[in-house]
Amino acid sequence: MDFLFWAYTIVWILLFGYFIRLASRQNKLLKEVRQLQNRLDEIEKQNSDNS
Amino acid sequence: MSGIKHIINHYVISALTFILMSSSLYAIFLYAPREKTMGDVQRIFYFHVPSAWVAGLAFLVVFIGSIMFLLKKDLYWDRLAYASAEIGVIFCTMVLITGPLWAKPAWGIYWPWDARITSFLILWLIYLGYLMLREFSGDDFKRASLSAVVGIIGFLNVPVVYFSIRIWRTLHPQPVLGGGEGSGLNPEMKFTFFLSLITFTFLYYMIVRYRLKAAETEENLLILRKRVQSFEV
Repeated sequence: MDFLFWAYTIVWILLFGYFIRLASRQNKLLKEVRQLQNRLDEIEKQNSDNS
Repeated sequence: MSGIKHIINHYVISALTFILMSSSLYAIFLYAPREKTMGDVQRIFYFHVPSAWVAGLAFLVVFIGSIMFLLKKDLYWDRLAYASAEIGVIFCTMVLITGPLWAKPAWGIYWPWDARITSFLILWLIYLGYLMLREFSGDDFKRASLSAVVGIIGFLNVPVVYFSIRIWRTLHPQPVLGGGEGSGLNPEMKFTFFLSLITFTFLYYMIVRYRLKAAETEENLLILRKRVQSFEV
């Protein structure tokens, strides 16, 4: 029963670890996309004000 | 229409995968009977074999994605191949962990260097190399082309792994389905096994979609970075 327990525990840890890594990577990317989008909006606003 | 398609693809598939995962766990631990010779440790089989199936499927997608990239030069195929390779390596790792945990009580050793196990380890190393190659090679197209070649050549090992137990004498059990005389599963075990197989296939599909979405975000990010840089310089 010990081996069965460890096999399933490791599989779940591995799967959840991967999910968490994927989700955090995606959140990080989306955060950077938002920041860059805001920066781009600011630049475009400045350019239109100057012109 | 695309909204409905998105809901079906995202929420329905995710919910279905969750229901299938719960049902599989119920079937594995409570529905499937205890195997007479090996006892409860045999239940590892319901995770071990479907993980190997998903790894094979993932590497097949890498193979197809690599060929399509070389033919069409469309980076979508490269992203698909990369996403699939990453998932394939995760499931391969699961096979390499659950296998020895079954082997110890069954054979008395964790790791016999037989043909199936060794060829599977080589498969894992090939795709680990594929992932490492992507980290260290140059621009998008060069990286995609190099990876595609590895993705195609690496897949040649998949049939070797599959047929290794038929070609060579190994400690690894013969296939329980279609393995000849004396092989087979009782109906409850067969049901649990196929339920697990379907569950893992759905899980693979769900992860690959999510992983592809992350790759698309990454590409959008690069485009945005270039646009901001062009304004700031």
